[in-house]
Amino acid sequence: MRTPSVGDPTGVRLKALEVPLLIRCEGAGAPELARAVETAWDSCRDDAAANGDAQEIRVRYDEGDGSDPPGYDLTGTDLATVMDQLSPVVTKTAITARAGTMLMFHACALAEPTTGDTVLLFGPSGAGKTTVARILGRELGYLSDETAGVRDDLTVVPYPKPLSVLSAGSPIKEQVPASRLGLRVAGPGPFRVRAVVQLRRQTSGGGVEVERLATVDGITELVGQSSYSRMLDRPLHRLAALAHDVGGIARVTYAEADDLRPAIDALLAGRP
Amino acid sequence: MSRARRLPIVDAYVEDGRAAVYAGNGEVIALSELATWAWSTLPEDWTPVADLAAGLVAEFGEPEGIDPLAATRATLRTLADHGLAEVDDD
Repeated sequence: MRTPSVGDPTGVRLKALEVPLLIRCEGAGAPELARAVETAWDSCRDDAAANGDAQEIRVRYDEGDGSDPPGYDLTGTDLATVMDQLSPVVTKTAITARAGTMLMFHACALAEPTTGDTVLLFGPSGAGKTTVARILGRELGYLSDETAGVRDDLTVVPYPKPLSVLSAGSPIKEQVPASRLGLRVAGPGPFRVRAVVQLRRQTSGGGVEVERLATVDGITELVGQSSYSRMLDRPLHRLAALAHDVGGIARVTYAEADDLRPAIDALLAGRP
Repeated sequence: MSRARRLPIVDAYVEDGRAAVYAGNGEVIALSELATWAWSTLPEDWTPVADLAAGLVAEFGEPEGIDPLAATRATLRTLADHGLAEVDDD
């Protein structure tokens, strides 16, 4: 196996949750795959990374070869499908590398552009995290639509991954860079967590309802949307400290993401 | 005589009389005040459920409309269902 290097046309260097990654694009479609990765993951590019310190993800794309040779993290014959499947592979590689070093949540993270004050909006798939990121991220800085890492000092590690967007007439979600969706760049940071919100989407009507959860209930909900929390020392106490710092975990019930901004602004400002 | 014991956990956080407990099986559960009391009182060694029931009555008074022993057993069964206790009904 040859050594990857900066400028390698089939290698794309990314940084996810501050973990250096090298996406090794292989197969007959390698150049096309590399271009697609470079475009979709533009906000996570890390071309300055030194050789040898990145974790490698081997991806094989070949329209004419459906075999599944060993040694690859991902193989495929359809570019959109490969790109769709690459996103969780990148995220999983990053959070596995970060296990035991920080709190990590299944959450959308958005920052107030001037102060860096950040809101985490957590919830399971279907709670609306990506939609909320697309709507609120036009004015608040986009940090992530599904995975947020929080350091001990309660600052967020940006992970501005492409957003998975379902296109009309296609069963495959397209991986769209934040810039193409008009999302705001978050700036240099630091991005201090000021609000932690459980997203609860209801399918019909109603406005936006905000309630503060008791610490015990809030951290139980939050730990259910965390990764590798068990590997941290006293994980529930860490979550309780976070909850106390932000004035309690909030539960926001809503139907339309367009209606959320006033409630999020109030929570970022520390209002109940 | 039935008996019970507490199982090892990852972490527990108690506030306002209620606990969130991270069980050894990976499940995290928020307990009621009664369940919090039962869990925090339960030793790691096997203990007669009758002793726990007596302690429950001393702490909370006689439960209305239900036998204290049955109430204690039900609470312990709930804790066992979530990997926080082991109950031996022999």
